[in-house]
Amino acid sequence: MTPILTCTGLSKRYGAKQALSGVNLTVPRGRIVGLLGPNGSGKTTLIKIAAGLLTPTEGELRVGGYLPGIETKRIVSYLPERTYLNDWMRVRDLLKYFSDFYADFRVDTARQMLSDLGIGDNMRLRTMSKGTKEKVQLILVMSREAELYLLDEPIGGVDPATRDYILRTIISHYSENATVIISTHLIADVEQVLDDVVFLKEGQIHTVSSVDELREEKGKSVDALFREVFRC
Amino acid sequence: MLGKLMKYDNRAIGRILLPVYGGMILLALLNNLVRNFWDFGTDDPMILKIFQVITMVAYVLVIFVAIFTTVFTIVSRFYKDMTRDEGYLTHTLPVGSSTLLGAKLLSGSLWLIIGLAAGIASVFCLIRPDTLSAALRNFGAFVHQVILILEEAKISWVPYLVEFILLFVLTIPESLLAFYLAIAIGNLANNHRVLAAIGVYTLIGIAKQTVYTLLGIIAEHLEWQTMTEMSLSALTALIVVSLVFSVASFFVTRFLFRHKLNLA
Amino acid sequence: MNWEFSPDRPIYAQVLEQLAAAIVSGRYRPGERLPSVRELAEAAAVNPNTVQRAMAELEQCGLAVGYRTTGRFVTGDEAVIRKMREQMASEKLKAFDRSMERLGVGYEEAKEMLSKWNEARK
Repeated sequence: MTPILTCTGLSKRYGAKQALSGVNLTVPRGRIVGLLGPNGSGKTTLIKIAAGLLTPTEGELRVGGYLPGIETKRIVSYLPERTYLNDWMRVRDLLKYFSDFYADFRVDTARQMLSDLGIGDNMRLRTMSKGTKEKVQLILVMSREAELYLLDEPIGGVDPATRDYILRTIISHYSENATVIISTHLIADVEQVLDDVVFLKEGQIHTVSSVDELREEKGKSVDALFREVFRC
Repeated sequence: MLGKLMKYDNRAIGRILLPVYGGMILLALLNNLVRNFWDFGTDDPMILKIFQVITMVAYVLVIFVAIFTTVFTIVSRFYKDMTRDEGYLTHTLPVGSSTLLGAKLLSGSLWLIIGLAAGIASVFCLIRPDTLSAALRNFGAFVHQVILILEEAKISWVPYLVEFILLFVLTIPESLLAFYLAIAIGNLANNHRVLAAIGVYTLIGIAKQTVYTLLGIIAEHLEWQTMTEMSLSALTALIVVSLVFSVASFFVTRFLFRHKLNLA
Repeated sequence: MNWEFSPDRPIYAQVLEQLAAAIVSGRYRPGERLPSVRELAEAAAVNPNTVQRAMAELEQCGLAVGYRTTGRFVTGDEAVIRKMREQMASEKLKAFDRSMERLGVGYEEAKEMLSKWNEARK
């Protein structure tokens, strides 16, 4: 099968800041990949380009062979780092919205997960706690049968129980045809869920390896290795 | 996809504007009642006058509120959906940039027209029903007379009418696109994007005015056969200019959102 | 199953160990159907590919048998299970021996401590 994501000489500059430079990366299907690096290392930039929200300064990025555009947006499910849903909408409005625009949205899956968490159809986003809002967004994103999931810091500001729920949801949605890319700097919590890791340092690829290989070779966890590599 | 985008836009805008328009019409009806039918159960002409003045002032205020709210809601929704947090949802939908922009333009124009219609309807609600039918009949007769006079003087009024209507209709998307363009350009700045957008909007206004002035100067130096010819040509020129502005705004805005998107 | 993983060894190896331990101790009985890769991955909060690799190794060393359509089962061959049990237990004994050596506790002393501990256990 063709790789789901390929970057060739990918660079992105914002004014004076070089966010990404010369990134070459191939991500196969059916993997859960961790995009790891400290803040400002270019993780979010890379993800935004893949989501079609930014255009590269140099080089190219392809999803499923296509340059970012309508075709890629159909098969990419993106969870940004922030709340991006309309506050006044109710849960059932959101379900309808996603069903309307995404042919691969599985409404029943979403409903099931929402009811598992006790989130009612009628609730407005505005009345929810931050943690609940994040869970709703995650459920909507994971209920799409996409080929590439881009999760930007999905476990960032949430409590451990929610974190566990998020990781279990990612695992249970695993499919051989799809890939999940998780960008995070909280590695210890995520490590055992990942197949492969990509270390991004100052906009460049530092390491690409599978978690098992790293542990075998270095005899330490990815988290420990990360702290070494990115020691201030 | 265009229809779906418009559906959600209309819903979001409507839930704010419909109550305002409703209030506007209700206040007009209230005015009607107070002036013509109801005396609040008081014989004192002074108190009655005060009530009438209050309701009239309230109505006029609501008209201003309606105008402001209409423009503000349409423009701020565009701003939020395209450049703020909701942009993360909008710009990752499997929808082309033309469709996205087109949907905003269509729904915005729709609500401008609805607002206008609601305003006109509320004015009609001010007038007593019996006076209203009489007034309408008189107006119809007046228009008929004017047409007869024009036809006798061999003035062709049809092209004028058509061009006026066309110009009016074209101004609606043109004015919205000016806002959209200003927002798109303002979004290129790193901070103070709203201020930048306001600045750009002002500049666009100045630029347009300059173009019109230039056209005026050109018109004065050309030879005209008749008054009619000059007026019609002027109208045609204005229509063309409006179209050019609209098309240019659309394509530049689309380009900016497609290639220079930089969500916060 | 108590899924706790140590951070410095490959996860697939640890999953393999825990599954093997479950089989040799009889928690999963000979011929019993093993949970699916997906079920185990969710329960352990571990990547499914990792679990798949562990299961494949389980099959390799003969503790499990996989059928395409029906799933994976513990082997019916009790001899294999016993042998593996011996192997795993003697690994633990070796490690125990090394630890005790480091503490300077010899065989006789260790034997005494073990019986005392066994008595207290009852």
